[in-house]
Amino acid sequence: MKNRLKALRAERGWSQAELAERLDVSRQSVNAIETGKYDPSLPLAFRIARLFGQSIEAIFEDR
Amino acid sequence: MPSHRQVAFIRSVAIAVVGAVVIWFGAAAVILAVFGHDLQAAAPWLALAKFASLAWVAAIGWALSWRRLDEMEKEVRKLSWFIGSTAAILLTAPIMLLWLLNGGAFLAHLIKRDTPGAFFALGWAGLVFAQLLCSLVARAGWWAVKR
Repeated sequence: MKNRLKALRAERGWSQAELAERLDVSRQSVNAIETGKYDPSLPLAFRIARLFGQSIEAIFEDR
Repeated sequence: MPSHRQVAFIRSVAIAVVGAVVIWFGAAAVILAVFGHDLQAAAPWLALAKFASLAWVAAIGWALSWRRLDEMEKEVRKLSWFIGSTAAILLTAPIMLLWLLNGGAFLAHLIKRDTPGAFFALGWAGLVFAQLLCSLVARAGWWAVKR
């Protein structure tokens, strides 16, 4: 699943570790999500969407 | 500066260890007060206290640290444990066949005992060791692919 997480994180100038801290996940999880190697659960996807103030569909692309 | 996830993990480990020490020394103090200098009579109770202490570390440490894992880490552990247990059963099956083939003579020679308890302990320890080893290999493989 493709996503815009890396771009959104870069816009805010956050490191992977900072984003991980805000989402209460490990930095490895953030990295795996950004590289498309791990698809987050629905609750985590909602947390990500809320953190960036966008809808899930605007961040994640089902391809 | 450790993240709050790391701090929580360290705190969990500390709770487990401190609890174990309190259980062990507390129980030992009570047991020795009851049995006095009769260490032979106290030995089984001291062993039980030691077991309770280790059980505390295992149960509390495991439960607390599991709660602090994020969803991906939980998924990795579930998957690696599943793969590890399946692989362990397959890997340890030949040992069972070896026992069936020669009546356990080789295994008895290996562990230098031929009691049912020794065979049971060997089977249990072998399976646990194989499962832990296979799970670690599976987890390492997962991280190698997903990192």
